Amino acid sequence: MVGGLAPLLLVVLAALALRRWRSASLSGAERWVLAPAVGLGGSSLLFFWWRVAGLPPGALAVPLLALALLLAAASGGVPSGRRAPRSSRWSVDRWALALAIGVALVVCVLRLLQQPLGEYDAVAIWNARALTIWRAAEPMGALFFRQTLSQAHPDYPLLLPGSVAASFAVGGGETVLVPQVTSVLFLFAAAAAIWLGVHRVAGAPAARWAAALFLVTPEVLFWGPAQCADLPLAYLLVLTALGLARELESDRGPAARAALTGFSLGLLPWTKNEGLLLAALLLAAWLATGLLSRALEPRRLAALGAGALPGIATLTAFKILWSPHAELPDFLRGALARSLDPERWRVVLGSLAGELDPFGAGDEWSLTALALLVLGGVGWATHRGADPPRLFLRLALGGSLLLWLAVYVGTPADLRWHLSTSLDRLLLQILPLAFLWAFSENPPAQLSSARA
Amino acid sequence: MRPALQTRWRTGLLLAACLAGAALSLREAPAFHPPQPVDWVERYGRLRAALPQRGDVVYFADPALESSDRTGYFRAQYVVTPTVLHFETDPERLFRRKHPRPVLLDFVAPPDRRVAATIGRARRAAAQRGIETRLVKLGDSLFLVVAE
Repeated sequence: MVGGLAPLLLVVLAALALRRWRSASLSGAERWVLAPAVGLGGSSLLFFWWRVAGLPPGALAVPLLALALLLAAASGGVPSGRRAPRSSRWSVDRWALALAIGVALVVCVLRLLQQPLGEYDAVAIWNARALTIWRAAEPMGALFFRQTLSQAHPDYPLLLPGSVAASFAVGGGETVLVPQVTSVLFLFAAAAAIWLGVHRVAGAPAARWAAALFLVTPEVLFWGPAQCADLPLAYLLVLTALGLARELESDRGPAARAALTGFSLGLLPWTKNEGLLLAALLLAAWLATGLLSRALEPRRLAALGAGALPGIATLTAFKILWSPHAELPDFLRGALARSLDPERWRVVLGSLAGELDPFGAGDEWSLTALALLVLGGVGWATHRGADPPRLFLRLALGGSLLLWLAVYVGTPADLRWHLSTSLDRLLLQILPLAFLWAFSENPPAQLSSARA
Repeated sequence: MRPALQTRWRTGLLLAACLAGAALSLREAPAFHPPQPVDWVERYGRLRAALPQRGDVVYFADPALESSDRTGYFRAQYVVTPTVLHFETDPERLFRRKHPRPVLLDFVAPPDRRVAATIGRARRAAAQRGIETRLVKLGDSLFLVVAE
């Protein structure tokens, strides 16, 4: 039972370590939002290299905990940041957030009781990989070589399985609680990242509305406790977008922040194969906006690159040495002819509209997509000007939607099957980005914090 | 539009979306749906002890039971990992390798005529290559054929 809380321990230790990292001058909220990426993402990288070195998986607990405690207790001193004055009044948005957290917790617990091992993909891919890399006694290289013969997508990257296996090591053994707790942690981390990002661009009441709406969206609560990698990817995507948007502001803080943004950027392709596309897209949108607004600085670019290095280097080693099959050549073969077929566009756009239609069969998005579209659209129409961060968010969201459309139109797989099995999850991955965009289009004064 | 009105419609929109989402999420919560049994963990768990603890095993499931998404294969793989299961659909090809690997036939007991015929084909294919097989019943629902 206690071992199941190991992921939480890793997150808490990461938050404490970030608290001691004075040069990054992070606020308390920022530290906690970053902590799952550092604690769980970082431990997955460590686990991978530990096993590549041929060391026994269970023995990772000692150096991992020692490193985390050392960082947490390092003599950097605690920053003496001033706390913003807090209102004790309970406004509508506070009630909404409290209700949403309660609903999310109840639904997560019920779903985990019903499906303790997670959704189909969790059993077939994510948790199975975690058990494989945890149980196997042989070195990682030999293990991956044998895994290439398996049908269970051996080319999928290992952030989630690696963090689960590292938590097994810290917690003292296998338990189904570890992937369950990890999954719920990533759900709330995504909500917290949305809260943080919206707080910066649209103020505290808007941030509470945004986090509340995210947490009660049925699609989010279906995949939240599902123990799959889509919500971790969504969390890392919004975390990276937040950091990159901040890099376009005049008040961008010390260069250590750029390194942390780079770290989460590097973790994107280490989470899912789609993460590579999303990371490239975010980077392209950011570079384009930065060049237009002349906001790029070589020193910060270097810090960003250095931060991304652990994730990218690990992914490269995994892909070059052991990943047996790259999907890109298959995808590109005949993709142009497929993408010129108007019928395919009709099917893809029709599926997208049907998926998000709150009054149709796809009610798993409830009113969330519609509300974001109205909120963002009206905000955009009434305030046409765009500062660099807002322009970046528009490019990032628009680009990622176009990217997904292109993936489906060009897919060599059966189109209807591909859409029916993955469209909702691909949209879920970019949903937090849609929250940031929609709320960034609405200035702070336009969302109420009226007393209940 | 006056600022107060701008604020109110946005707040109203978000409140409506939050309430609708909460209601739908609770309606779809598992409390209102039958629980999904995980007895397959126990079923394949018995098998784990009978398989080699590392290395490769060929997995062949009853084609009539195994759905196109290979649920049985993935569940078995989840439980027996790190032993790697190779998915095979043709009983004639199970023993074609020069160095045959153990074969797991995943059928529900007792076998009906169709299942018995499939198992028979696999065993004959093994016998033609001089491979000895044995049929093992685990619990009341699983047969295991091991080629040594």
